[in-house]
Amino acid sequence: MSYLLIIDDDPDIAGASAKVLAAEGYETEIKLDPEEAKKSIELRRPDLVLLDVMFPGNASGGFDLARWIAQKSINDKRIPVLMLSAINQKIPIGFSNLDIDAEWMPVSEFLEKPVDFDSLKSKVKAILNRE
Amino acid sequence: MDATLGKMFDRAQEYVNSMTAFFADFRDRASNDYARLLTYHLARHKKNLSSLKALFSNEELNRLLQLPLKHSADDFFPERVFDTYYLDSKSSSDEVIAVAVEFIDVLVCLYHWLGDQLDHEHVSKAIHELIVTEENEVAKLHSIQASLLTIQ
Repeated sequence: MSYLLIIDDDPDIAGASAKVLAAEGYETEIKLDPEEAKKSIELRRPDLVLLDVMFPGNASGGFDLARWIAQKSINDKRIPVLMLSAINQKIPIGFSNLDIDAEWMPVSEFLEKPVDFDSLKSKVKAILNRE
Repeated sequence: MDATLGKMFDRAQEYVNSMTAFFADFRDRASNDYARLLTYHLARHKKNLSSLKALFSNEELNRLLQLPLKHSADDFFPERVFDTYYLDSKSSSDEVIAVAVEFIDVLVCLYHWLGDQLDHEHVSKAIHELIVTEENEVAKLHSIQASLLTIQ
């Protein structure tokens, strides 16, 4: 059973995603804060991280954490990260898969919030099969 | 020294790489989280020139890179702009945008300087598109700046 770590400061969004993915047979855990998530990742390596971009007090917290997660590679095998973000609705910055970059933005894919749960399920499945 | 399109593209790529390195250095020192957020967006620039090269086949690109220029690549010193600006750890998103706009303006000048020397329709068109991409980026940065004013 794949273990998914969901990191989002909004417990409602994180909870809804966890519920949908648990119904698909995945083990899920929620962390509302990037620092708490780091402790969790140190203890147990997730098969996939679902990560928000903006956190209270740290607008780039998700990207900062994605770079930290990339440094946790074992034998060049990275923990895949699916970014779930509403940032483009708040700031016309247009983050997308075009920004994915090994050094700057080491993530697998972007998915815009509000998340369509069918898209979420298919993205999670595709990333886990690929990685 | 004889100059070619290839040599000048190398100079442009070096400039963009230096710009990326400038913002990477700032990203790792920045205490303002919105300023740091902007650096993630600005890193996208390093891909623009590669995208232009991808428009041509390898064979065509190799031929085009040998196109001679009227002026030597040594006549242009875009990287000097990096000695003019500095972002300290407390710099704001406004300051990051102001510096980024200056850097992009230099890049646009470089592309204009390059495009003006070429007499090749397809390459000139591709460079013009690169200029439009960078000019749109400046407009976008101003739009980001306005929206940040309302949420910071």
